[in-house]
Amino acid sequence: MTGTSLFHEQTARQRIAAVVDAGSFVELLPPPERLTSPYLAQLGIPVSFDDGIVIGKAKIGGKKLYIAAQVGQFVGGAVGEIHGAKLTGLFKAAARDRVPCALVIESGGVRLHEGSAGEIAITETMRAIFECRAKKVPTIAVIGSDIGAYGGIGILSTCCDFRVMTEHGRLGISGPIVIEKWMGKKAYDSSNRALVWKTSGGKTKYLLGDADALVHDDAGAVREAIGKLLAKSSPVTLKNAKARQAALAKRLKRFGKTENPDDVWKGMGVRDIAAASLASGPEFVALAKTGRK
Amino acid sequence: MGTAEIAVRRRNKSERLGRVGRLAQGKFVSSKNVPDLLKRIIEPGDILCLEGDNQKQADFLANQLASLDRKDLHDIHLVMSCITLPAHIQLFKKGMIRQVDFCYAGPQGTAVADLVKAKKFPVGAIHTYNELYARYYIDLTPRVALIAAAKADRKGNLFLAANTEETPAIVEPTAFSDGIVFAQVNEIVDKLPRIDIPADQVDFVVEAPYPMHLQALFTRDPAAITDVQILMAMVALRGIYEKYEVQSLNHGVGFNTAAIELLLPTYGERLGLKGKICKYWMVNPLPTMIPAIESGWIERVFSVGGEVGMERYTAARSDVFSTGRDGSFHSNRAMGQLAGHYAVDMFIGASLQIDVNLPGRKLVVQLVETFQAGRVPTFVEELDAQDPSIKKALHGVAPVMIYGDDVTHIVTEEGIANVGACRSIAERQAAIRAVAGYTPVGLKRKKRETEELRRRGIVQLPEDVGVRPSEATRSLLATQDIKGLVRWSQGLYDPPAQFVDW
Repeated sequence: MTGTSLFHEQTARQRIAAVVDAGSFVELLPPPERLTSPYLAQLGIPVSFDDGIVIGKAKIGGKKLYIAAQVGQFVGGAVGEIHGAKLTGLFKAAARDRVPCALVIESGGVRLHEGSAGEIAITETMRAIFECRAKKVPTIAVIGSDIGAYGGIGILSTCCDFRVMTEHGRLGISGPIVIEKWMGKKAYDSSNRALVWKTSGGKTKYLLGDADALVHDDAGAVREAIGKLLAKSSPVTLKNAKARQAALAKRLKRFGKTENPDDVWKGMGVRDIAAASLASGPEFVALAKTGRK
Repeated sequence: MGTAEIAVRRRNKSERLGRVGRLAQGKFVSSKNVPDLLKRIIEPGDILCLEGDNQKQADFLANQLASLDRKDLHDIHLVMSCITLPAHIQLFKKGMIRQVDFCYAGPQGTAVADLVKAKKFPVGAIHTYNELYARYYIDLTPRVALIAAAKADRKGNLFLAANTEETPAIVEPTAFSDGIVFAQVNEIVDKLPRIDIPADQVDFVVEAPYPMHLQALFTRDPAAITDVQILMAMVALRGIYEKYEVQSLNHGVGFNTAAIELLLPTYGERLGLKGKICKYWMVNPLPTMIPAIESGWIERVFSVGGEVGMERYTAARSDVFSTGRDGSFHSNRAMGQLAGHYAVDMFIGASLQIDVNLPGRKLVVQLVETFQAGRVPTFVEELDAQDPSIKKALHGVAPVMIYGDDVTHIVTEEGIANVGACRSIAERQAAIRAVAGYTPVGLKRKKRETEELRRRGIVQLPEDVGVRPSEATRSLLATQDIKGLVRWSQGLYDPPAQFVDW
């Protein structure tokens, strides 16, 4: 109960350092290389020497992996051309070397200042992810920051084999404010934090099967979850894709008209909503066991 | 003096009550009759008290008052602690107010500034809470007081729940001077949990169509506490709390002091200070105190008001908090302010600005960062409050909260200035400069002066009190978020919705 460093409060570099074996991280294209966004420079907006993403190679439990972490403090971790190219290259290297690749996400998606370049970069990264998956090289998305995984990055995270989430992490396409803008405050009140987290937060995503692991808001727990997934992969086959489609259609039919997120939890077998709301990581997993089958 | 002059006030009160007629059934008024009733019980020239401090507001009655016209309500001498609601501003805009005596403007600060500029804010004086409450008994006794309570019974007894606040301080002087007390309540019930104000002191009761406004004002989310605030908290703990073995204190309600509360069970425990300091508190039931209470640091807390969400927790910790016969929390603003003034070793809090002319007995500690939000320096050569235009608009009143004479220590992230121990104004200025960091005031410091003051212990840097700045991180807090407070409380704390993300 007494404090430790919380994963969602750490910076990208702190997260990587805390997740991988001590001293094992070697950053690729580090800030001294000064790979910065040409678009932001043209617009007179401050640039960052890493363009908002840290990439490199490291080890977890002695096993090699490629790892990237987005820098939420820089333009909300949004993906521009350079940022996306670094990420694409990392997944390509992972496919080439047959070394697992993990991405610690903190991003609302494409950087608006370089929209087209960012969109293309994200699709290129997705292609690289599928290259990995075709070779059964594990790809893991970690979603545990305040910003979450939204827009193109939300989609990209679902292209990976596995998603590790904390209760702070959120996963979706449109962010809460955008949904409220289009659907109205009555349909979705983005200032209702409990509603936002109960619809897109880690716990709900775990219940629905969108997240494969739900862990404490702690780098050690994230490390352990990644470690367990390094030797696994989820093959991309027509059969799996069809099964997933069917499962999603069933989910829509079941919960499509549900207005209170607690009813989704109840529908997934959570009995004590109050206790489950307070529970974190594995405590929640234990309470949710029956629901997630 | 003939007998005809006797009991004018009492006769006047019965005339007013007589005018009410069928607008009330006994003491009870239906909400739609309130505007008409107000017209009949308030007279031009009245001292009118409207209950409302920084937390609790008689907002329904204020809104009804603001719906009246100037012909119905004018030449009013308004007395109230805090100008908080748009309805309060309306009273001035409509020209109903002849004079106002108050404490501060709170959320309506900008609107009040506009009224001042438009010469529509005829201020008498600006008070501390207790100055104003004291004057209610002497020269500012209300003829009519509009107050707020949680519940009334069928006789008109009132239950104030956790937020007793200033209600007794308003009701007593009014009721015992033939004034009229009119209460809005959230609910009328057959039996009250406990009686806080006897029906004998209440003239009218209305069940308001909406519950009174109650601000969750002192809920500090640990997630928003910064490393710099933690550094200041460590410096204050070692350099002040530990050094002077502070037993009883009047604690501030900002993030700085919240950081201290959250360090007690971790850093404080490690320093072996448990049971030696911080046993008796005058402060509201702050959620950030939960870990220290649960760890057995705190023996007693008395409060000027409640805090939304702390009802079940305070009821369950009746050894620590003041609770009524019904088991629920009790507070009292006037008595709490007195206790916080006379019964403590130390007052610690934060002001918006500190000027360098602090001329310097009980510990009065100012805990401030050198810069505030938006890079506004905390340390200035002259307070905005001394600005001639402000003074002129307020008829010569400078709204200074705490005078320098009263301050003994200033703590910033740079260190501690023991201004109380300074021998001269010049020395005091040098001590303040030494801890004023990179503000324009701080940049004027001279190294030699600072070193001399350090040698004499008047200025102490973090290392002088055994604090390593590199250790000042959020991981030192007993919990880093609101959910952690709920866990520490064993599920007894119910945070307001805006703080809940689970």
